[in-house]
Amino acid sequence: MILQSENLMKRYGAVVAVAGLSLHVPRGSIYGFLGRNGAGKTTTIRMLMGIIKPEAGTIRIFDRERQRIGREEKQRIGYVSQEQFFYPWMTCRYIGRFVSGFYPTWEAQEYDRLLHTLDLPPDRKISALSGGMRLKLALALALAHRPELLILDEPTAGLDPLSRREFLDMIKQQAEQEQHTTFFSSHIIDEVERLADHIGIIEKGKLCFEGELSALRQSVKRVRIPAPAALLPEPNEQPAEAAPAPDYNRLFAENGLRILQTRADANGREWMLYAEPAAWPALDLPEAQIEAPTLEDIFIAFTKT
Amino acid sequence: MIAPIFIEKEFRQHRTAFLLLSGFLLLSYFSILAANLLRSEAQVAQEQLRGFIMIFAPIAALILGELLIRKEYGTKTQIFLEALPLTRWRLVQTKFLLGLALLAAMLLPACAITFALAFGRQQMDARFAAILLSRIGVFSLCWYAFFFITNFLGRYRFPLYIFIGMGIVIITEMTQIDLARFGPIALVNETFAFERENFPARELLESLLLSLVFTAAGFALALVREGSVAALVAEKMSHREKVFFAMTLLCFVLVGTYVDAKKPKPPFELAGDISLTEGDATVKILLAEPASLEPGQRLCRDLVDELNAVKDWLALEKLPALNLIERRDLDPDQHEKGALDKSEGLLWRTNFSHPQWEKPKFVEKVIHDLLADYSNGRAWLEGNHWILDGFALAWSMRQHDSLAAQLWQRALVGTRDETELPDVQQWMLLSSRLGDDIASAVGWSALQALEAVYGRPQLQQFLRRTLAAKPPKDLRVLWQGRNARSHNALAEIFGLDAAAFHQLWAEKLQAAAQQYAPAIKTIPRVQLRLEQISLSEKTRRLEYRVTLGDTAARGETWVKFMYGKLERLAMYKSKQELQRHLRKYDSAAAVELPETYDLGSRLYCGVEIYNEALGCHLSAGWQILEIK
Repeated sequence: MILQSENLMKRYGAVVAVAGLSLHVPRGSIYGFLGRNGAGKTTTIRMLMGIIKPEAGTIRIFDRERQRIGREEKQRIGYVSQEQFFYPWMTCRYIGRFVSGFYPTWEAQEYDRLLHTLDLPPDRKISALSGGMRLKLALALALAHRPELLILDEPTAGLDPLSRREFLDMIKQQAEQEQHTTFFSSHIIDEVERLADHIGIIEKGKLCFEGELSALRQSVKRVRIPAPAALLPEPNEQPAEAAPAPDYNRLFAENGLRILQTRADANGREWMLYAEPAAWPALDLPEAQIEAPTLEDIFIAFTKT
Repeated sequence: MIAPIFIEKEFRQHRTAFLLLSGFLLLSYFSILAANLLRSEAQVAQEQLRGFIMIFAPIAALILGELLIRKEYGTKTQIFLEALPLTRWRLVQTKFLLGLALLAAMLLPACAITFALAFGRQQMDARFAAILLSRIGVFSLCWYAFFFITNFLGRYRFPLYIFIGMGIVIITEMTQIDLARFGPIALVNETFAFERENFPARELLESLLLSLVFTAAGFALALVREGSVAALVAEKMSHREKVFFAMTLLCFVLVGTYVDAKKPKPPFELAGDISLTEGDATVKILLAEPASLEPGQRLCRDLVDELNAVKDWLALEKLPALNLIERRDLDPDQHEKGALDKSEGLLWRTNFSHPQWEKPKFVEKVIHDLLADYSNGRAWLEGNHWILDGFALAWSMRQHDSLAAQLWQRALVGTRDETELPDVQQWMLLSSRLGDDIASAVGWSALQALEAVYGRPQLQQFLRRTLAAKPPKDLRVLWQGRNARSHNALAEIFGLDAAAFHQLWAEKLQAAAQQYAPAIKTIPRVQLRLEQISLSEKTRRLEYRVTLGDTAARGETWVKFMYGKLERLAMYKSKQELQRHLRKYDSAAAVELPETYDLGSRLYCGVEIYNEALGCHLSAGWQILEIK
């Protein structure tokens, strides 16, 4: 693991922004940190970047355990924040020169190459750059010192679909080329789907799921039981005159399936269930329709649990 | 060790501002040097340096704080810096030290020049130089540390500056604490240029401690809660906050003025030759010569009686002391009022020993002044001024019923050229046009009209309400002062609106006009004509001519032309401040004034002629003349 956290906690007054978060980011992976707005993604990233100090928990990064990320660790991380607060009077060239003073491994040639690749005019002032161009500049600044870990906080927020697609492609290309680890947060499902091979889902400051994306797809299924067999009695409801329906909830629990979400309609009832991939073949439900949900459905199921 | 690139970035970002500031400081210092050369009594070089440091060190500290700290947090670029491999502590520390170094560098040239000048001419040794540098250094450090912390207060810094300023004013004005004896202010006091032997240890220590506290507080503010506090206050003020601070400031000002107004002023101390206190009245007289003792004593007795009488009649609460200075250089009809801003009491200068000095005219002035002072100036305001003028005259003439005819004639002269009765709400304009004597008579006639119809008791009630109300010296005057206004008092006491009051007054004047018509015909209409004589392209001389209409002057008539140059934007000059040009009346002759005037100058001028029949001056031609 290049980055791990154990029980990270951060509170803002009465609000617990991050409540015992334990992350595991494998080296060389593209880790998608997925969560709704206000779930605690940015707070987590700010702790990982050492911008704020966790109240509890530890961070293990580059094989070193830390309560707070220091200057040395930061010099090995490339960071693109959600919003760019560059000096408007600086040019693209100068800001590179400025940032280079903080990174011993900065490569001026690499920075020039990135500017060229990203189509950024070196002598243009930052105040004259569009939002998308500033984001690209942030990426160039983050990559020019060849970081081992690239952290991006909702990098495509505010970009149009085409720019977003280009940016994501760039990230993927860089990750493949440079073999660095990429950790990015987002609330956009298809972004994570497109880019990530590992995923962590955060909700209310806690991690609901963490693992490979492929494993997640294999672990979560939608199970639908058509009516009337699926009509389980509601708590105060008398069962129908017909033969009592099976207790599916108990059945799922006995088979090691965790119910993420359930809902019923006139046509039947469906469940979103999570289980180890190996548990699914053992499930014997001939009346059930089992299908693979979209990542969006999985995400919603996890966050509404 | 902070990356040198960070310091380079600061210079690159603010180089123009740094250069301008340095240039401004140097220019300011040279201006002080230049101004000193023009002074009749040149200051020593160290004293000039003191003046420079006192004013410009704080200014430079303020600007540097704004540039290095406020600008960073105001544009949120510190968020970008915090993401770099750079601790917040190091960021703040670098800015603090950089600013301090810049401040020292900017002030150093002035110090170096001063020392160079001083070494050449005055006694200046290494010890003295060290003392001066320690004073300057710690003084500047203290200011820099102060602005260091305030710039981290973001949007709250300006309200803080205002409240601190007000606090200093309050402490200075309302307490005995002398702030100039403490801390950094004491380092640049009057001993700055002259104390050569002893380091001001106490003041240096106080200032250093203060600097340390400010610096520590500044760092705390920058670093507390991960810098989120500084980031939060760096944002612009919300509308609600602006309203809150505006209201708080207003409350402070109101409370301050209220407290200040409540502070009793000390009585004016006149080391008079004669002093008499009886009842509530105190009169003190300073004689010009011992020969004035007897008339002075008589006058003192009379004035005490007058003051006590008016106090009883108007039911005044308290009387200010009357201080009188005899001035034999004044004309018998010239009475000068002295200004007592910081003391209680009235001060007048007059030539009471002169055989032609008239006591009633002086009493009129004193009563006028007394009531204006008593009412905190409310009786002087437009709307009530006619009552003040009329009553002062009435009071001074109350024991001279035989002069009633003369007063009616004055009032008729004052209103003869009007198509309708004067608007009492524009009394100042009328008064300046007619002159004090005629205007007072016009006011007197209105009071006579009221008394004739409604009787003395009701008039007394009216006068007590309008002249003798003592309004509070704070905002309560806005609603409590309402009752004292003449139109309200006329309505509530007499049941008269403006039209009815004018009707009543007009009837009385008409009756007087019928009675005194023959006498009025003999009163001349004074006219003044002015002409500008060109002496050169830009210089003029003034010539005036006075005519008395178609009425022949009786006997010797003396014309008093009064004039004075007006300052820019001024619209008026009191008669005390005007020059007088006195000559015998000659309708054929134009009189040239001795002075010359530049183009664009403005003069306030008019003419007065004493009329025996009326027993007062006729005033005419008051105007503002622009030299063209």
